[in-house]
Amino acid sequence: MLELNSVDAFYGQAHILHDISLSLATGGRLAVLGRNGAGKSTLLKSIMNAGPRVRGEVRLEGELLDGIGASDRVRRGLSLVPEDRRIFTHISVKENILLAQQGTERKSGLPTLEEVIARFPLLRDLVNRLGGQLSGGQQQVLAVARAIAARPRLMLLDEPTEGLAPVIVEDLAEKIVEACATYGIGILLAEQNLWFARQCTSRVLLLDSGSLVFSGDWAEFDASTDLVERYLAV
Amino acid sequence: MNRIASIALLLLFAAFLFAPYLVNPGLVFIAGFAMIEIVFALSWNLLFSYAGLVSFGHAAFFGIGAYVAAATLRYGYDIHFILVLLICAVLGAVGAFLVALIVLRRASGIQFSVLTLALSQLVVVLIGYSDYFGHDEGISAIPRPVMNFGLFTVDLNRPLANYYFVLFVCLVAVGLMWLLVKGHLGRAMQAVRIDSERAEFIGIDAWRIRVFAFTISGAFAAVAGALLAPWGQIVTPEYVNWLHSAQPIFATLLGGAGFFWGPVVGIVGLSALNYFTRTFTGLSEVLVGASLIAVVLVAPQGILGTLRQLAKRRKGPVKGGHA
Repeated sequence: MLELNSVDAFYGQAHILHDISLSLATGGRLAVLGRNGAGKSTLLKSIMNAGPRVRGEVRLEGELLDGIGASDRVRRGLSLVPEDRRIFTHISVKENILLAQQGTERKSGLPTLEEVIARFPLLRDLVNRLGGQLSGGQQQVLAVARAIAARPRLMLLDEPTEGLAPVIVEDLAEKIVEACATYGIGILLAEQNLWFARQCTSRVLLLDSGSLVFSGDWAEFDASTDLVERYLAV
Repeated sequence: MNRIASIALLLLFAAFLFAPYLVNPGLVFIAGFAMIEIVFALSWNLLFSYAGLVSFGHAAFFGIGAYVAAATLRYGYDIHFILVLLICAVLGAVGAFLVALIVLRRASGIQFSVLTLALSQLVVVLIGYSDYFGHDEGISAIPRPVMNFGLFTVDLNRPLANYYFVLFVCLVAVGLMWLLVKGHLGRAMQAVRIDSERAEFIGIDAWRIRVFAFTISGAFAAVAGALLAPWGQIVTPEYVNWLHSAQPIFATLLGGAGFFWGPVVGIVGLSALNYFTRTFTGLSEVLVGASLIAVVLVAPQGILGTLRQLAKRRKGPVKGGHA
């Protein structure tokens, strides 16, 4: 479904990503690990065309996404839940979800508002509350729920556990996996929380200083005992 | 919108509805102008409070409607005035669409605002060269139309019919704008205003939404202009000039930016201020200016914003957002 071939990404003169290639099948779930500054967020933004200047091929369902803006990529089935959540604080939880559904080209098979709320019961009593009146954890749940409401082909999650209480993290992992399995949504997760990444994905990709240093499943990752020490330890 | 503001708006509506029976013809004439300016200001506010665009040249679209309607009536083209209103709306929309297409591709923020100002002043210059549009004197002695609707006719030469026709068209325009901002397009416009990048992340094409908002706004501004021709019976380049473009800005600041009804309150306030200071020769503009400075300094959220704050203080936190 998603294919990156020799992708380089730049912010101005700064060369952030170096020759990244990856492929993800329909409904596939891939974690992108790495230290702060390794290039995880830049990779997700490069796929979305949301900031960095990108060289190389990004394809979705075989279609080359060259020159296609972020909003059009969303309509083609990509959805980014950015690090800072980016929910709309001036409108209600319900309107945030409806707004996301408005932005997709998919006209049928979208979950109803009730279905979305049923999947994320934390939002049940907050439906009419303004986004800005939610706690950080509630905002994160809303950001994920909003992405799932648009039923993308692939959901890109940028460190969704950052700043969340452990109990919310556990619940969020369960809800994401359930919802993505139900709606056939693939996951590309940039994350530092190994436990969360394991729960949500089946394969792992490791970045270091913008370069790919490992790609495989979790068993292979665990078998390479020095990876955590070399590339993830602070 | 809190209860006090709702009651105030209802009272305002009642005042417009019964004005011909309550006040002298001079005030009724001012009320008609105020209604037209309300539609114009609301059309500008669609851009500012919803799409996050500041146009300094919105009077150009008002002028398109005013001059096309004036020329149609003055030169005796046999076109039903309702059709004239629709033509003006389409011309305003097309003009705004072309401007948006050119300007929004290249500019945003203050550059966008200045370019809209430059384009509107260009329209003023072009009118100045035009025999058809009466040069700097404009088009005067505009006859009022008689509209045949089959079962009945509406003769705008009758003062009551004229007033209620303007009121009716303004109510329809305000209603349509209200429906627009409360619907999903309104939500998308607000999303773009708050954070266009965030909007892009959920599939909203910020550029298209801005072009759409500008186009619709131009259409409503042109309809307001078209109503002016039979109401005022004179259209001059003053209505296209930058000072007229500033009117909706002042009204929105006075009434409350970020509120749908803000410009309505603002126009009524400005009209009242103009009326009560009309005898102070040379002082009227000073007083209007001083009032605006006072509002910006003392109540930067405008009248509705201040009312909302007062309500919040009295009742604790209440649901905010666009009233």
